[in-house]
Formats: sequence, structure tokens, C-alpha cells
Amino acid sequence: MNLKKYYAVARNAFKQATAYRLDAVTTLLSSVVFLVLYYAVWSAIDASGTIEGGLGRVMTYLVAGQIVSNAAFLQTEQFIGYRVRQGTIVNELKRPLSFISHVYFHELGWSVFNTLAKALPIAVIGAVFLNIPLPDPLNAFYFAISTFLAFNLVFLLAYTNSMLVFWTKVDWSLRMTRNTVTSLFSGVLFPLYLLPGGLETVFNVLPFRAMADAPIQIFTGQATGSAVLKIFGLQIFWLVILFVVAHFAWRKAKTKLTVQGG
Amino acid sequence: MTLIEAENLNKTFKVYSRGEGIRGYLKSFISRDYREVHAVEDLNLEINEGEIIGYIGSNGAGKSTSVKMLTGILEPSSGKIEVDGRDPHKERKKNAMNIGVVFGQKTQLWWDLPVRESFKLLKEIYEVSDEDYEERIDEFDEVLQLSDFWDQPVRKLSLGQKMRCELAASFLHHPKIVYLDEPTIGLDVAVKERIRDFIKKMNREEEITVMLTTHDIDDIEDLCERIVVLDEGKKIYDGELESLVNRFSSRRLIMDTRSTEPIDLDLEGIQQIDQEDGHIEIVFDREIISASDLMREILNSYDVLDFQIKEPDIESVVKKIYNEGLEEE
Repeated sequence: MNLKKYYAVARNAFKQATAYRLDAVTTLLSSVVFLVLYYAVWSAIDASGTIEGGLGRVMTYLVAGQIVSNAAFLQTEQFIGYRVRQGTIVNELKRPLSFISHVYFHELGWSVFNTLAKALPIAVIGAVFLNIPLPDPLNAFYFAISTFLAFNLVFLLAYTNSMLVFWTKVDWSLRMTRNTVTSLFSGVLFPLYLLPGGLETVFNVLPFRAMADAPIQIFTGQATGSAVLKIFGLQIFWLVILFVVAHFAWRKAKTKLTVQGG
Repeated sequence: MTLIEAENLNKTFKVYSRGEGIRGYLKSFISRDYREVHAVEDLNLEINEGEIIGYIGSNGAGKSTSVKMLTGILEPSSGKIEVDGRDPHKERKKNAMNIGVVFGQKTQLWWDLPVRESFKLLKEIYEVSDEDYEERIDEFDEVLQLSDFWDQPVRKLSLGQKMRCELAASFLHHPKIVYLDEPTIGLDVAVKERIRDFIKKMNREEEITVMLTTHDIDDIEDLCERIVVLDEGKKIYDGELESLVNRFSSRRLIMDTRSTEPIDLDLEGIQQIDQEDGHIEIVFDREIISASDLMREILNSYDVLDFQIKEPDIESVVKKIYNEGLEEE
């Protein structure tokens, strides 16, 4: 694979993303609102009973969740859906690029922008206003790797989900569904360590945990040493499975490709 | 040398239809009726290196579908394609390095970015070297004048400017073949001419083979020696443009006169006269009577305000071939 080409695709996507700076500011604001709201809710819960690990631990978890979900925020369904509906997907297919790699590096470019413009500011806001303890350099490094693996997982899920566009021709609702399900099961909406035993088993057999809870555990210091390696292992395990699924979905979708308006 | 070869090419689509009303809608979730549409049927095609082929036919004739198969985007339902010795679908990426494609109504440029950035990305994608790239852009600039809007975002360009970019983009990497799907649609005469000059230059200087889909007879007359006509997925003509147009020697003279009295012309070669008050349309055979002779006769006896002569357009030529068939010579 000639990586130079794909690097150029990612760089281009990053430049495109900078054209939407205002959009970054508004999503950043919505993350802040989310945290304020959740702070209020969890304070109330904390006042009426005891939470395992206390309010501070919950908030650290939720801030880390916002960092991860913003860094790995993808709109692949729209990217592909738009091209399928308009028929402009022919432009991607006429080029000497693999389709999945093209989409991947496009999303990677956007993600780098989202990390700089949204995820990092949230870390700063969390540390300054909520007194969230930031991980030490080594853990921060592990956290970065795990977040990158999470991005890859979200990408493969979103890409597979996008293939449904070839049948449904709608994309927004597909992304919303994926987003909601992922947020719920991955730990972005509430700390998974609070789950009762029985339910936790259900969450453990689903891939979503590896998309947010995994890096969050490293951020909060819940996972250290060999537990970090276990987390990487779990993420890579799901990457392999989702990669195979995504590949199969694309092969199926390609036969469905009729290119509208031609 | 044969560069593009298609043998018994077929593409069939399933088109689903849905019953009426809510019942039909609900039923469509369980079982759907469909019919098969033969977008391309038994197409045989041989294109030589350095040719400019006019690929014509009415809307829905199967032109775009066959171009998408030749470029490797769509897989044929059956049949064989070889482009420069490769199966374009199986070796899509390798084939893509060799070809340039413009889909007239589907821009390949990056909407939010300046034109410059789009080209830089294409340079990387098609592995064009730095020196070659600089040289190429200068060369294109001379004919297409890209520098007028080089730093503007693509979304701010006019249709003509966008098409000049599209064309430059498709020739950037010295492809062997360029497929142009309606490159002049909706453009003014000046831009059309500039685009045609560019295509001619590329074909002449670099022997780039061009396959041109268009509805514009001027494009065809200016660029193509050979044309292929498709209708309802089937090839109905493949040969020289001249001999086809000569079969259709009918021209239409449209004029406005000051008087509204019925026109009375008794000349050989006139096939049909339609008159509505002062507006008159005359269909004549230019093999029998030349336009100038006809005009002279008319000007002798009528007070003509305005007139024009219309060439047969592609649509009507195609329609005519389809209705009457081509007589074997």
C-alpha cells in the first residue's frame, strides 16, 4: 500500500475540517453542557446515597468518556450515504485507492482535528473546573494508544453500518442509532463499573465496551500494569472481528451498487 | 493497437416496484415485485489507441452504465472487458492509474477546499512527480486558464470554471484513456470551445484516447471521427460520423416574416412546411437544395425579419435511426 497517497487524503480531510471551526466550537459547548448536567445529576445521587468510589470517580470517568467520544466521533454514514444518494461515489471508485482505506484516512484526518479542537479542550476544562486528576505521562501515552484503537473500532462499526445505506438510502438515522447504542453500551453515558454483576456480563460480550470504557479505565487509573495489556488485547480482538465483518459487508454492498442517476 | 475491447457486454438491473398506498408500502417489506432492466445489451466495442470516440444516444440509452463498466466501477452482468490488457473491474486500482474520468454532473473536486488543494491531492493519489506536476499545471493553465481561480474554494466556482478544473484533473496524470461523460453540459459557447481545444490538444500531442459522451452535436463534429450510437442498451451504429450525418441531410429553416399570409413555395427538396402566423419552419433536403438557394427564393418574395438554420440534433438522428433503421449500403 502506498501510504503517501492515503496520508494526503487524511491531510486533506483535516484541512476540510478546519473549514468547520464553528461546528467544533458548538460540539465542544454541548460536551460542556453534558458535563454540567451530569455533574448536577450525580451530585443529587451522591447526596441521597453512596456511590461506589464517590462523585469524583464518576466525574473523572465521564470526562474521560467525553474525551474519547469526541476523539472518535465519526460521521461515516453521512460521508458514504451522501455519495451513494448523489451517485458521486463513482468518483471514489474511479481512483487508484481502496475504498475502505480512502474512507478510513478521511475519517482519520477529521479525528485528528476533533482531538485537537474538542477532546483536548475537554481535558483542560475537566482539569481546571472539575479538578479531574489527569493521568501521568506513561498512562496518558497508554490512554492515547487505547483511544486510537477505540477510534478504529468505531470506524469499523460505522463503516459496516454505512453499508446499509446501499439498501436504505438514508444515513442520518443510521448514524443516530449507532451513536445512541454505542454511547449506551460503551460507557459514555454512565460508568460501567457501576453495573450490577448480571448486566455486566451482557456488556462484556458486546464490542462497545472496547470503544470507550477501555481507554477510560486507563485514564482513570483503574487499569494499570498488566491490566493495560489486557485492555489492548481486548480491543485488538474486537478489531479483528469487526474488520472481517466490515470487509464482508462491503463486498455485499458492492454488488448492490447501482449508482443512482446513471 | 486496440486499447479497449468489450465483448458481449451486458448489464442488467433489478428495478423494484411498490404497490400503491399503505398496503403496498407494508407489502414491500415482505415481498417486492421487480422487473429486470437491460441497461446494456450485447455490446461489442473495439477502440484503438489515439482515437476520439463520440459515444451518443438519448438519456437512458446505457452510455453511462457502459462507461462505468469500462472504468471498472460496475461489474458487468456478463461479457468480457479488456482495457489495456486488464480486466478493469478485477484490477480496478491498477486500471485507475491509467485512466481519467469526468462525470459531468458529479464533481470530483473537494468542495470546501481551494482548487490548488484538490490538485495537490490528485497529484499524490496518481503518483505524479513534483516537476511533472508543475509542468503539467503550467501547460493546462495556458489553455484552460486555471490560475484565474486557483486559490478559490471549489464551491465558489462557476459551472464553466468547475468543468475546466474537472478536465484538467482527468488529464493530470498522463492517462492512456480519458472518459468524458457530458463534459460540456450547460456551458456557454466560449467555455465549450476552450474545452474542445484542450481535448484536441491532449489527443494530438499525447495520443490520449478519448471516449466522449455528449448530447452536443458541435462537440461531436468538432472532435470525433468515429461515433458509436446506443439506443435502449444496444449499439445501433458504429462508424464514421460523416457518413452518418450525410444520411440525415434534412435541415430545418426557422424564420419570422412580417406577413401572416400562407406561404407558398414550390421548390424541389422541400419536405415539410409548418406555419403559424408569421412563424414558419421549413424542412428541406440540403442535398437537393442548398440553404442559400432556398433563402434567395424566399427573400425574393417574402419580407423576412429573422431566420436560422438548424442542424439535426443528436436526439433526432438517434430517433430516426431507431425508427427507420440504417439501410445497408
